[in-house]
Amino acid sequence: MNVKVKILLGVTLIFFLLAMPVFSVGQQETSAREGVKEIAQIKWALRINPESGEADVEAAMNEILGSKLGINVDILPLSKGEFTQKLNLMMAAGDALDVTFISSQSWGGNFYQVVSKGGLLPLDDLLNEYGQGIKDQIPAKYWEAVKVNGSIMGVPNYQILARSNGFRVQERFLDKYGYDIAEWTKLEDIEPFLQDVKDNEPKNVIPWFLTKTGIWASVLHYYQLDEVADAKTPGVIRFNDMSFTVINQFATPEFEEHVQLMHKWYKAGFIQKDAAVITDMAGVAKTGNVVAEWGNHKPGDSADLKARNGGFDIAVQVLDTPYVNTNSVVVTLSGIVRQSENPEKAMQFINEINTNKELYNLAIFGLEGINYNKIDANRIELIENSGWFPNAAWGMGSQFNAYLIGNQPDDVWEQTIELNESAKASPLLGFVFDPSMMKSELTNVLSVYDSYAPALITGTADPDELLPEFIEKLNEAGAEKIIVEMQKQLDIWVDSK
Amino acid sequence: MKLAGRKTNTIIILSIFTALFIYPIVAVVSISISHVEDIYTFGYRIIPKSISWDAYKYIFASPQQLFSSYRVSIIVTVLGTLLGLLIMSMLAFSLSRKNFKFKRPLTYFVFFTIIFNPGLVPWYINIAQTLGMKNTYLALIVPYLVWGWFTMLLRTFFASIPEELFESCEMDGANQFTVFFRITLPLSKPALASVGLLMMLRYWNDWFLGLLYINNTELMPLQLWLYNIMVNIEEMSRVAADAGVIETINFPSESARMAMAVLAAGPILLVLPFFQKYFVKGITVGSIKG
Repeated sequence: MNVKVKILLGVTLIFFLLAMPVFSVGQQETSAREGVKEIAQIKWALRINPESGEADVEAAMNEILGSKLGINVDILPLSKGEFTQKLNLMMAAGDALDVTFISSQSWGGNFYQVVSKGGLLPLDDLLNEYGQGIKDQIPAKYWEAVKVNGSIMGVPNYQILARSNGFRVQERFLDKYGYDIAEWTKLEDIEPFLQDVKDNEPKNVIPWFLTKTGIWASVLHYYQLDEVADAKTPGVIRFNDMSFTVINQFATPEFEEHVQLMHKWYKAGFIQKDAAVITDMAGVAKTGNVVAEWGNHKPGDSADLKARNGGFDIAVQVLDTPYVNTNSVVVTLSGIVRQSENPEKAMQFINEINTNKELYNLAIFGLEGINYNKIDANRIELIENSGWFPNAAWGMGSQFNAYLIGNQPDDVWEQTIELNESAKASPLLGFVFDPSMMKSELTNVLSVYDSYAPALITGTADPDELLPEFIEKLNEAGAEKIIVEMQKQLDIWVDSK
Repeated sequence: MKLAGRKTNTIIILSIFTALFIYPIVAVVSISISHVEDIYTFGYRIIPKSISWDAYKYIFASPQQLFSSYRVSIIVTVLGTLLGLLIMSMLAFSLSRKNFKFKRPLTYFVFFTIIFNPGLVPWYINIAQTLGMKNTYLALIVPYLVWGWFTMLLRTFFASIPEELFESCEMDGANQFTVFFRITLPLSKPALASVGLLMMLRYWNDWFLGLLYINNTELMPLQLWLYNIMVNIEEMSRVAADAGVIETINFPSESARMAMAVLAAGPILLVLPFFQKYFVKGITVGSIKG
């Protein structure tokens, strides 16, 4: 008995000894912070690789920030592979951090998860008080998209928001066979051209290139459908359907039409045989053997496309309406972290990086003469391997303040802003499906999707055989339940508006 | 005659198995020196159509980082394995002695960690904030020093050493340290070697500790650095399009992946044969004593 008590005491003692440093460290930190109250430290987490020029860039940024706002910014570079995990861990552990890049998609951060755990501060009041500049810059309709339960949880890094998909075709083949891309208004219109390419070109030329993921996600809007969660998860509404009726996109005539068309093309030999297993797009495109594909278009992308396709010119024909939905806005945001000790200063900083052209260009390109040279007032040339080029202008602030580089047309930002403002905003802007009630159904549905969809959307399998089975399996996995839940959540959201 | 026939059979079967094991390694090496365009055009081949060192050139483009990462990984692996072995075997030795007073509670304590772990966030808080090990070598070594499972393995092995041996030593005037260092450790080489090898692999292959606790590129272990390069390559095309920047460099993505595997696996492959003789014995460690 006595021995047991002793052990218990010993263990307790050890725990206390281990815990002691927690208190002492905490005290030291607060006292150190009080000492330098005039200059607020803002720690800024970004999804970039660490580079040698960081200290110089920070010093230059702090020169601007220090005198104007009393802010001292400290960039925390978290490289791509570690960003999400490290950020989420730092938030959970309460590490010193103020502003962070965050995304709802594969760019990292798990925006919605972080918000539901309370990791970010609501920004409405802060924006009104300290963020007027950025607030006016972005059209009001897009602020709706970053609201979660009615509060703005992140500041969009304003850039191209509109998605407009269409054909991308190598010009040399268009010229050779005498086709005019501007005449094509439907997917089917490209068929005769693909046939010509197929008949006359060598075998390694791929008339219509598809990867495992197919193009279903990016033809959704072409078929006048808008996703409630994402293109893989059952649940879409039709454009202009003001009753907001959620339907299963895989059971629509549009999906059948699409997979039938792809299957027809596959049988005709337009699509390469291994489409259902290929994941790497860029590698194949680089060989210059991809004649035509489907993709997103944005202003000034012709040079990118050319580089991507082995140096051959690409003609683009957009087929769907430029469109903005929640997913295209929450793809890159700046948020203020819960543990920030200076949320006001953090918001001032976000506002400044979005509106101060000099500051923003410092962050994205570094120092003039060291990291880049100016060609004219608004165009620069990068100096390679000079220690600072995070290549993440899209994750740091409003891209429309950026200097132009490479082959970007002079008016690329004006064109982009115009496209953003004229684009059709999804009626679902700001609605976010809360998946927490449907976790097991979503997992099951996704695994059904992964086992059936690649064969269907790449045309590899015959839809007459596989499509009914796919729909049946989806329903068994809980697709209908998910749709009912979506409808319920959507109705509540519509009523609240 | 019969015997010879059996021998040939054995040789054939073993050759087939050897080929099965060697094939992937050869494939990895030859893909790593293949031309990327060939890979896309002709698929993976065991004999490269044309040899290109692009992948290695890309990885060796910043040799300082490569060498510093190798250094970090080697230091961490060597120190971690030795220190870990020492601590774990001392702990296991205490646990294996019948006359040790706190044997039961201590065994329970070790066993507890096999079944339960504290979860990521408390672990992170403990290492990063309480112990303040962030951005130090300690963060890469300390968390993996003692594994309950290995400790139990060693304890079982130590317990299989006849108690009489210890008694006779003590009778000759040896204290516990002498018994431990001069008698127990030399007798336990197979167990130490197999645990040591597993520890070594664990340290060498680890990138998670680096990911959590290291922000400083100078302290980045090899695996984490290679992992980062790989993520970068995968993303290059995506980012390029989004940033409005033209990436004209031809990234040897497929072959670079394999070149990394070669670089990461190389040193450990060299070490493995030296452990082999112990390792075979070590596999049965723990199963001897029921």
